Amino acid sequence: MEQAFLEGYANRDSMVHRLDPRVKIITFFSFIFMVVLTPMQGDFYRFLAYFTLLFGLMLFSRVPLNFIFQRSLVILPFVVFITIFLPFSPSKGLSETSYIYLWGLKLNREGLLFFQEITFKAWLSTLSMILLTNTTKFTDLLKGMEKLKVARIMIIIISFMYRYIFVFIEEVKSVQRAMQSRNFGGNKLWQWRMLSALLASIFLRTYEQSERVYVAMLARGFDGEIRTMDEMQIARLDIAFLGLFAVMMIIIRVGW
Amino acid sequence: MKILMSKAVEIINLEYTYPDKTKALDSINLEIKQGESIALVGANGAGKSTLLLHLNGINRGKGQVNILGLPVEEKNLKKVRSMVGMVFQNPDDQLFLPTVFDDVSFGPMNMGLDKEEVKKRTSRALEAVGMAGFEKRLSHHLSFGQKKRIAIATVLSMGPEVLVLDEPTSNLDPRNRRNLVELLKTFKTTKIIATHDMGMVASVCDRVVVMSQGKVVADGPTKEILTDQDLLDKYGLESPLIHPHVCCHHG
Repeated sequence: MEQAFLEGYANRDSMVHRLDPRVKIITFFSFIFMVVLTPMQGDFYRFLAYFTLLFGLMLFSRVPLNFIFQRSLVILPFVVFITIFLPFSPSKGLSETSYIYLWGLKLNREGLLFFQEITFKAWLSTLSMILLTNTTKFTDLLKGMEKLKVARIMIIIISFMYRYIFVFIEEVKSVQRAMQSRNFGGNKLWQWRMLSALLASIFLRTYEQSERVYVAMLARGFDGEIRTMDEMQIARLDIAFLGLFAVMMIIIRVGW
Repeated sequence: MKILMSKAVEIINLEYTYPDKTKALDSINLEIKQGESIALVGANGAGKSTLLLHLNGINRGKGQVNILGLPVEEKNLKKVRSMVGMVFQNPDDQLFLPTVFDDVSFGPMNMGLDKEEVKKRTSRALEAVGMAGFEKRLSHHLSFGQKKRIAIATVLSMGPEVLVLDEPTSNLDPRNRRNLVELLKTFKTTKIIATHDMGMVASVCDRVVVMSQGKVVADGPTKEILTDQDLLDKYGLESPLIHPHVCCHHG
């Protein structure tokens, strides 16, 4: 279950899946940069074009569209929570005409535009990240980032996290089952106390596990540096894709 | 050039005290010849795992440990750790990288071998444990029995002279256990196996070392130790359900 949730459709095969991880990382991150750096200014068509570009990739990737859109809804509440207050903030030096009255609310026109802009940009960025993580295996993403000179220590930390999250999910589940088997219940305060004790014990277990892992690493000659082998080759197709995508983004950005 | 029956492991007067002053190992003397297959048995807390961790210098006690004549000390650690392949009890400790390939190649990479050699060793090690073609798989997708096998492959790839295994058959179902026992029999290197699985001892090991409270209390041929009921009773051990002659010499 958890595995399926975390890995999604990354193990499928498609044109987008087959692209070099580095190319995909660069593509999607530059997409986000372009989107964020393009001012909206009521120029909604530009963003429709960005969306269409991404939508085209989604179709090529054969990741189910409803999966992508459903997943993107998860992030929206966070964005909306931050941006929702923008239309309500009164700004100085605005004439009465820059306000809209709606259902008895006084909305700041400029704030409303900001709200629209930020929310849409965040949504587009989220969509592109969902597409990236569902067309690239997690391990390939890590290798790609490593090749792109992302700080090694970060990659090692993420890779351990990825490896052991499943181990700890299992541990938490088994503790939960043990608690349920003894009719875990009673008063709420006591329940919370028990749950915090559970958290503490999970923390201790992680700590102990890390020590055992470290010993296992030492036993195989670990000397402070993790060496893994990666063999990635950028094919002509990758270059062509990157070039085409860049041209399209520039056209959208600069206009035609 | 290998000298026939030379000492793979030599332990002289080894003592180890935990930071809280409890004595974990008490004047251990042990000699293991090349190619021997040793079982290390004894109750929980007898000091088996602690002793194993001295073989590659993870634990450092008073006394002397030599691996193929090379003393286990700071300047030799790298060499010693590539000679002693240690397989830990919980494969989740041993397999710490996301993919099987990364894990099996971790040791050889640390040895500074070139890429082609690392790849060759990795696929050979996986083949040796019957897991050929698993390179791209993710560790958390594997079954427990598969993890155990790959944990062994992670040290085989280093080409160890001495194979050290801590509870290799624990938590395995009967079929996986049987397969693992058969697998262990195929390894011709010196083996040191800490275990409670007397059935495996009877079929894999030719010598048994009994430990109790940090001391070696008995040391002899498997047949002798496993048939000495008084000794087994005294140290809380059991002889295998089926008598050694019956279980190990069929087929």
